[in-house]
Amino acid sequence: MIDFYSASTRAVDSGRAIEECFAAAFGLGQETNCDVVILHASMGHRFDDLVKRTRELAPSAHIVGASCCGVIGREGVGESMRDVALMAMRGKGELFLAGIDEIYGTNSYEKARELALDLQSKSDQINMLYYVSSGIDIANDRAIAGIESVFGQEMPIFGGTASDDMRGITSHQFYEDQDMEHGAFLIGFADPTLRVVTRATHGFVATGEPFVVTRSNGSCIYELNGKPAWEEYTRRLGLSVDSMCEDTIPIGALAEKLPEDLAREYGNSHILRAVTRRGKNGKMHYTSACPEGTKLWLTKRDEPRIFSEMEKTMASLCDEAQGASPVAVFHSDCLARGRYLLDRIRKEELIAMMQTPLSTEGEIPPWLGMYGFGEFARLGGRNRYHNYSTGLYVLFRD
Amino acid sequence: MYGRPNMGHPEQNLLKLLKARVDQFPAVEQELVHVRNRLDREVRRFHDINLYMERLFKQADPQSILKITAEGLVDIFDLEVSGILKLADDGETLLPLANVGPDRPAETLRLNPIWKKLHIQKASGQTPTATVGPFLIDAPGLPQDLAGVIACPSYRIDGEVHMIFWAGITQKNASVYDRPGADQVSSFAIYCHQVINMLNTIQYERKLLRAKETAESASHEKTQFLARTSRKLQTPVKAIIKFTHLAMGHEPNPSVRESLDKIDDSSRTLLGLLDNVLDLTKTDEGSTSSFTGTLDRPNNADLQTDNPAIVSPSATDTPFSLKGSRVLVVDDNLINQAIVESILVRSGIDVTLANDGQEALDALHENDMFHAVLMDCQMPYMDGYQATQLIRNNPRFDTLPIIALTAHALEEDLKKSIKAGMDDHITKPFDPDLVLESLSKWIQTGRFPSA
Repeated sequence: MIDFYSASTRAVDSGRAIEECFAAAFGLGQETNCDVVILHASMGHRFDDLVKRTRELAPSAHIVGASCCGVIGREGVGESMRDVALMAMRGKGELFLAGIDEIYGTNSYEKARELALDLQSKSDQINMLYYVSSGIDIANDRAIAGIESVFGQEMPIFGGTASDDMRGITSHQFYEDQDMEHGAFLIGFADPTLRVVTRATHGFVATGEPFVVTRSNGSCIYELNGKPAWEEYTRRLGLSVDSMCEDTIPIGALAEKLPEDLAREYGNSHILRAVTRRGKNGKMHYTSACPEGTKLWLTKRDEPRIFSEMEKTMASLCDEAQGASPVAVFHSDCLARGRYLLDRIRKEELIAMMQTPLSTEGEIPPWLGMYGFGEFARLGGRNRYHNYSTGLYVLFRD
Repeated sequence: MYGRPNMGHPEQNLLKLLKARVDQFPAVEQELVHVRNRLDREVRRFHDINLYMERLFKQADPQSILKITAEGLVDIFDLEVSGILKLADDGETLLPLANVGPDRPAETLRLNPIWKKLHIQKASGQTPTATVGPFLIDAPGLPQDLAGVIACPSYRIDGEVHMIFWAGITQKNASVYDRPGADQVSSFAIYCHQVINMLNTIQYERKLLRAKETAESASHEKTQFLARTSRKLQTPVKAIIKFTHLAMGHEPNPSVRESLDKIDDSSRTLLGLLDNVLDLTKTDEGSTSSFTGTLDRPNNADLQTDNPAIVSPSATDTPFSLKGSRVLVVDDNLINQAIVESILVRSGIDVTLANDGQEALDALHENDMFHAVLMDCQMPYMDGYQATQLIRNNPRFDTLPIIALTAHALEEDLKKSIKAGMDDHITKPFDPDLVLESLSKWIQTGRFPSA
């Protein structure tokens, strides 16, 4: 049976930050060696120092991680440039890992399939997958399809995409001692006593006339409404064409209409997508494949709806518990919505709305969350990629 | 503002215009969010400054303070690198005291004269002000790779720059961090100002500590001198006592005998005083936590050697409950007064001193709140016996315990004290515990316990 230990902290010195996390996760002076450590760190940290100190404290552990725009742990929200959070796991023969580099929007399916095949070769007992990839220049729906081509659509995939401080310039993924900017990794859980319930929610509403994608390739959009995509997109947002992603991301959520049945399950008629990078000649990087003819709506965030949808999501998650207590929670939250949209008080209120119902006798379960570019959660019986949402992945032990 | 619609019906044009405004509404709203986020960050900075100051106050050594301060400069302001520089006496060389960030060189730096001219003027007593802008240091290696910096000088009392606190981002990681901005200037200066105040306070406290150590050292020297002198005096005094006894053995005539008795008595008193002085010096040296010296009259064994006096139980260890009592000490000898006062005060007794019998009467008439009187017997002007008789003549003082404290140890002396109206009789040199025990007994039970 896999055991989970989590902690988060804020410290300038990366090595010391890891020490503090281990002490908090396992208890001061306790054994810190384990089988897998997942790190989430803000961009101000020296990632090589994080990995080095983790290796010293947990010499047997596989180490993976991602850069992000802030962390969420049992300790609450950390959104400085020097926050770090970790989830450590012990489970001999029940945790399997695979990593891959050079995954882009144009090869997301193939590379993700290669990654999944590598993992599958290590165990045929895997019953759920934690997946983290680069948050820039990647077609996440194609990556999901690549993984599903190996493990099948029924295999739950949860996780998120790495980010920087919402600039859309770079994101880091660590796999063992590799620091990648276009990488991805999978953790396969092979503990039959565990099951995962995943949910994503956003609370935005689509507005105005939709854009029509008139020229695209994979996840790259070249033209909207017959005009250079970036020009048309920024014009409609009321921004200068010279604006950068950090200007567009907070207000530029794009919505794709969901079929009726999925909209009912989702509690919202649209699923959201982000533009994570501005390319040359009006090109912009979308977060999933976007065929020509796709209609994309601009959106307006609706704060009361964000809270009401979160309430419904938590009620649904608690229903799924079926009397079991959560043993760990993984959490991916959109940096633009979760971190930048809400003021600190509302943000903490929202996090409390998530953590309180999942606590047992007031104790929050081991919790690893990050503010990143995107979230993976199931919808309509399939794995899906989400943007501008809160993705919660609750592991129950039956 | 959004361009004049030029096609279609007015209603359609109006609709398009409204739709465009709906699209652009999030941009306006986002501006508000940005403003709120900036305020949020400023509030967070002040919260973080408080946290860092709390942490800094727990540090004992200046090097830790400087290191944590430098960490705070990057952490609080979400920057990449930082440093604290001290300006050398030449007014140009900057010495790195602490820094945070990768690959910071430790070589000596020089102050950029242009920056100095622009930002650092003589400013006696001036509150530090932070500035954002071109970097302040003209030195190879460090400044060239900085893409943005915020800096704050601290000033000495004469107005010259003392230290410079700075933080910034490198060209390499300029895309990762926000550049230091004008909105950080005030909180940056406040943080630096608080650290400077703390460092100044520590410096001041260290000066005080040094002054205290110097004073203690002088006091120690004085005590040592007293101790040495007293020990040296003990030997001749013991010799006097010894030879007096030898002379007494030669059956002197009554007049000589009386003189020898007086020599013997005075010598013993002097030896007792020397013992007391030695005990006090031991206490001053901190060799014991309380008054421990014996004040017993020297016996013959002591007279044969130079061994230190036997240590008796501590006066402050006695279980007597004397706190809050008020005792009148009457003695013409200032050293005796000091010794008795020292013993009583250590037991929480409030002491009033009188130099002779008349002063004792005056003190009692002025204030009748005394709980007891320690009365020396031999005093000029009015001795203890006469003073006691006069006190007893006043019914107000019927129940006031009066304890004789005298060098006279003979049976007749005791009878004489009792006859004069005294309640107890302690011979000098005395054991402090005996004095306290007697006071405790008489104060607690009163003069007429059986009544």
